[in-house]
Amino acid sequence: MALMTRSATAAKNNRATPAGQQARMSWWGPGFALPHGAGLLFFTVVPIVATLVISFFNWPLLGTPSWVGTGNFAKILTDPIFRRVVLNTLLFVVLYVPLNLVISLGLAAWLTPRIKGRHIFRVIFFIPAITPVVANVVVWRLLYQPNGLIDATLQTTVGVHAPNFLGDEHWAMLAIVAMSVWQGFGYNLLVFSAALDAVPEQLLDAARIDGAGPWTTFWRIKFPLISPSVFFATMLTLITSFQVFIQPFILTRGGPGDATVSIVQYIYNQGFALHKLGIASAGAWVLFVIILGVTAVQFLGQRRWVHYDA
Amino acid sequence: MRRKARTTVRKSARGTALLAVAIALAVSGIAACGGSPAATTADGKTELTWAMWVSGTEDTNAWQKVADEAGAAAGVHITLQGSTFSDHFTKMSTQLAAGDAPCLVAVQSLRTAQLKDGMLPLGDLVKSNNFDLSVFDKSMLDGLSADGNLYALPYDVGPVMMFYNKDMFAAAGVPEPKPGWTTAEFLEAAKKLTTGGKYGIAANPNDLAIESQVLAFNGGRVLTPAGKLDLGNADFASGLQWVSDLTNVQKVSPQFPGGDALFYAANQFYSSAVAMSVDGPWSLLDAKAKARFNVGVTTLPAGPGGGKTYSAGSGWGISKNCATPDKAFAALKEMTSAKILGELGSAGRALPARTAQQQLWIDHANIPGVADTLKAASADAVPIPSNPASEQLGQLFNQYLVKAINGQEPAASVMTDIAAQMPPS
Repeated sequence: MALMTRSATAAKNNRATPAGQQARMSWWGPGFALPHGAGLLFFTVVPIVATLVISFFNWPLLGTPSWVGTGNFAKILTDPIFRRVVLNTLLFVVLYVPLNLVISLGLAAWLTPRIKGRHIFRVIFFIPAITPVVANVVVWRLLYQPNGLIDATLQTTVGVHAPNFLGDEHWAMLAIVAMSVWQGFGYNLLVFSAALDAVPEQLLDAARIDGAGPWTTFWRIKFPLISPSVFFATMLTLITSFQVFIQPFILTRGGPGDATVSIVQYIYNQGFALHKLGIASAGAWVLFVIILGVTAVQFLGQRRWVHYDA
Repeated sequence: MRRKARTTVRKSARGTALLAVAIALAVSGIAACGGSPAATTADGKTELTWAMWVSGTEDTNAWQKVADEAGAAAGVHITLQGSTFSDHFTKMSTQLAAGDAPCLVAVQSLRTAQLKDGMLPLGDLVKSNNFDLSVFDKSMLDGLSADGNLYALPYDVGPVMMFYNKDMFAAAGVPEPKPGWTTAEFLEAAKKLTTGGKYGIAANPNDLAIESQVLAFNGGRVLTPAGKLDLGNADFASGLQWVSDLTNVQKVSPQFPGGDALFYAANQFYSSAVAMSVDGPWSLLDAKAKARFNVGVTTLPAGPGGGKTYSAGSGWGISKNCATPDKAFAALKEMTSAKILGELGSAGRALPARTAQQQLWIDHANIPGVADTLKAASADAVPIPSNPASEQLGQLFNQYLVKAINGQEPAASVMTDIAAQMPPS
């Protein structure tokens, strides 16, 4: 009896302590998570759900919304302008992402600790990434425009006119890509540079003893070791390049004609110039699906070339 | 002791959790309610925000002075909220529709129809305040009205004109243009001015500028006098072709790089890269501040069948969601008072919409012949009609006319491309 009572008390005590701790934890945990959770809910989840709902309505900014089902998606997917802006965006991505990665990886590989003043170079290369895009774009306009710096220099040195980079539909996208690469490679350069610095010295020594040259060392030792960083940078660069907006919007306003209108500018125009929020939301979801698809393919492909077991 | 400590901890944990809930609710509350609640300053004055377009320091200072003086006179506090002209209308139409626009909103006459649904008709306030509208330019009262309702009190008015660089004309030995000059005379002057990397004029596909240039050339209109879209208008297309030919056939205008048309044309003119620029009286202060040369003004060159120009102007109205329309109207009355419009006129910022104050702007301009120019231009000016799709048309002009100007596509086919993207009229 006494034993039973004691064991019962012990059991009760045993139960009481963790239960009390649990109660304490369950109040503190949600308490701390609440501000963040509320932010996530109100500023992320609610808008996402709202755009999905709006995309199924004919939703003018003023006036009453009406249900159209998948009508907005059908309208977008058959709109020749939308097809054009998707192609424009793909062209930008196909040109911008490889150029950005090659330049940032190349410069990061060059900026080994043996280079004198590598920190200064890093800062210089990173400056375009931290200055406001709008300011950069305005300066690039002055370079590109007829009688601008490029045109004027060519005229005085070679005596020929430079193309009208922004006013000619064959050049405009290339001009935007060049400006964007200059603006964007600094971030990836820092990521790659830091990853390369973390490659263990003894592995490189071992490779050197085995007779590997710099080229082999880079591709056989360094690149596999930094492949997680390369994967990370590729993913982020791809995602942000699909969302390109500010460079074409300020450099060309989407012109000449519709040669440089990106998907995001199409969404912006539909939403804020034409006030068709339904079409704009549907466009945003199409963009989301495109990005999701590309990212999924990347994740599937990474098994072949990304090594996490350093 | 331990038990007590635990209870305290648990109590305070509950308190913290409640606090967190309270904060979260407060945050969501802030997120949920927009609008313009009636706010007051520390000294009990009503706080009014005024959305206005600004370009540069001179401009901002001029408007800040209006905000301060009108606020003091009306017993309110006015905060100037500036944006560029090209972004103002996108921003305002979104804010007006969402019900969180500032109380005081600037409206350009050709965009009245676009903003009117979010604006307060001023008829009742004008009546209850016994406010006399007859002192204002009649065409501007019409321009700022839609469906028979007045939506803003006008502050400026003006015909679209030609600004020119007197120094460049003198250096090229070209006589200065006189009001009423023809397109033939214009072309002759432009050809002489195009030399040594400099050009006669910069292309400006801004809607008001290009529509005025075409109207003066051959009377072609893309908006009927009643404000209906007429995108297939053959006269407009041929007028547009004439303007485009200045670049790719006559070569008196540099290739157009695209982008913000107003910004580009003004900068080419201010930097003496071109000798002429299509603009209006509202830009004279800016021009005098930025240009390092003597600025002249004359009428737009008149072609066969043309000769007219559009007049446009702007005013300030009250948004529908304003919590204190009476205070806002009191502020509007002061902002458009004879004193303040007179000051804006004397500073050269705006040709006053109050006809009695217009001489002040003319005196300030101090450009020989400006009075004649203004008289001639005003006599031939017709108000530019407004259409709910004006803003969209303006954006498409900016985007598509590049092709016509640079000679990549005929003007008529560019107009067909634009029409394909516009709502059926």
